[in-house]
Amino acid sequence: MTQSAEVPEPPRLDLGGLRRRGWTGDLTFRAILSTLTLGITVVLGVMMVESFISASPVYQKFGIIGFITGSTWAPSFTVYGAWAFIYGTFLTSLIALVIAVPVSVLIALLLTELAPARLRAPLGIAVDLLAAVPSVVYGLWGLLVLVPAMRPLEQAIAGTLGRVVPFFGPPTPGSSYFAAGVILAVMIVPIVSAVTREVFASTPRLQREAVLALGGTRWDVARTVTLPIGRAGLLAAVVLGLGRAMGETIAVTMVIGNSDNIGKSIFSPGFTLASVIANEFNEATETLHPEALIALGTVLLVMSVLVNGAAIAIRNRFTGGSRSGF
Amino acid sequence: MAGDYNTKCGVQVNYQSVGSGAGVKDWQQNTVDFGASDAFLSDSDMAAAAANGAPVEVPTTFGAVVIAYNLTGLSAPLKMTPDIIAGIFLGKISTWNDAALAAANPGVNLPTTAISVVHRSDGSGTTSIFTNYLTAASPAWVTTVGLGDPTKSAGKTVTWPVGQGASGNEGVTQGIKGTDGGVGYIDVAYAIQNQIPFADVQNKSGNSITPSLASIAAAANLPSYPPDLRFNLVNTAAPQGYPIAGTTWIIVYKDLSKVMKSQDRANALVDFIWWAIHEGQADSAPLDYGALPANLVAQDEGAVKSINWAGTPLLP
Repeated sequence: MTQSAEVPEPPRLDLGGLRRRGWTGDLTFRAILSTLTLGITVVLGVMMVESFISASPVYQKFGIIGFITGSTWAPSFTVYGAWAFIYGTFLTSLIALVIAVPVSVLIALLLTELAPARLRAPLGIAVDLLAAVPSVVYGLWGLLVLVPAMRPLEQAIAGTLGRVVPFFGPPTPGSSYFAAGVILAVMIVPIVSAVTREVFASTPRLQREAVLALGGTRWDVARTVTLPIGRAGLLAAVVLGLGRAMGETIAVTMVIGNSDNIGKSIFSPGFTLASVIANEFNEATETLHPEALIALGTVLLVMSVLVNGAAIAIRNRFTGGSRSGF
Repeated sequence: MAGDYNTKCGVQVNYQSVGSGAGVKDWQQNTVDFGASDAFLSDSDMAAAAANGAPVEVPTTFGAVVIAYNLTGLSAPLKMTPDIIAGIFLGKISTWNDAALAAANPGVNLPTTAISVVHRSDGSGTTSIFTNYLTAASPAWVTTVGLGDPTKSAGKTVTWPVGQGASGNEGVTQGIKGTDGGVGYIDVAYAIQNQIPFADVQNKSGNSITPSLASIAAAANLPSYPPDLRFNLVNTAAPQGYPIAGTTWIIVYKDLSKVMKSQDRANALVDFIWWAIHEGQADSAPLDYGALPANLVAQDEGAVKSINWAGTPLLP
């Protein structure tokens, strides 16, 4: 990834050849692209409609609001409520963001402002490579290395702060919302930092040089130019990371502890929407159990669409909608 | 076992290692030729498959579920009573030096470590055996987990009041090993092969029994078995029987012409089941599973002979 502070000149279009060859090629090209784009939209729509229809017996029994806010998930009693999993999804994503966003911003600042030019490309590639690690590998690493390694820290927090605030209280069995959040943080750092890096790198060179010319330090540049100008892009990056964190399945399943109950503490085992589906669908033999899991999938799909929509909306608001898609 | 059959008889049997819940579901939906489960078919399982006719359930081997734990500094297996096991899995006993555990293990220096419960998160025959045992042995378990209904407090999935879930015997084992003070229930063969310590359990007669092939056989060898071959071994009355023992059934449809494409394939399946309850039994003990007693083999033979192709028996 090259880091040029200059605004690139758009290449000039040579329309001569196009006019000579007529428009048939262009029309075919447009037809193919439109079909593909439309196809993807249709697939998304069919997925939403299909899953809503498959899950409709659950909505009929509990009501959509009742299903979403129900805090009991007991397949043997044919009682299904999604709240424990929605809570788990939000809590783990929140933990992930709290850890990952500061780290990502610092990485992005390092790579755009401070690192010597020779090191920027290799360092950037190293961070990007984190995104290429399969999530099951993250899960294994989390289960075998991270969870045991974090136990002393968890016990220390639960033994001090946890005595006052039950939200950080014991017991600390290891697999927990917290462990899942930390794994997610590692997984979304490359995404958030890559987008943030692009945003920071595209801040106007003139303003940065102006600060330096006035005797400002690199930190002054970051504080007065890069961060304020890149704020919108940063927000979009955060929301993108949130979208990834909400949908991550296998790594979370391996470290979250897989409990249907709402954990009182951040160190309690729980479930996210994605992990409960992965865990239970294969063996869902009780009445309405498969339908209820599909309903959870619908909830997750809607949440993901909302979050990603928010990311696009935020970015468009600050960039005037000149670019589309990441 | 299926691999062994392949080398001896040249027939390839594909076996997918899924939980009993998925196995029964696949069998109901007729995507597999036979299913194997550590829980016999419930009445609702049978109703769901009624379109394909009646099932035949053939007991093939015996196993047991052990209470495995991770505690350092113990020289002998812990002793547990039904009340202690229920108390741990209900969350009422939360430290290893609890008075009930101390009373059952006199002279043992129990640590103050917190108990960290691990249970299965997938529908599993192991869970079925274990919860059937707790349902039979502990009224408190039925009251809390089943809200008084014993059909809700036992099964392949139940509503766990405490603990973390993990998938498969290997997941539960990892959960136990990864936590000082961890405890969970796993298949005895898996525990022996992976050298995880497990508890002796007090049976109905008041004897503290170590899970072993001998104590499983003591629980499994009944004078007679019910005609439909659906039976529970948990909470045995046998004085030397291990109380958390169970059976693995092969499940097939009685009339295979409705579900299989060719009679040759059906013949091969019946031959395999016949082999499994006879020559195949020699594979049991080395794998830490209990072999069938002679009276049950005789009853199994009757069940296998009842399997037919549109009314014609597949075996003479």
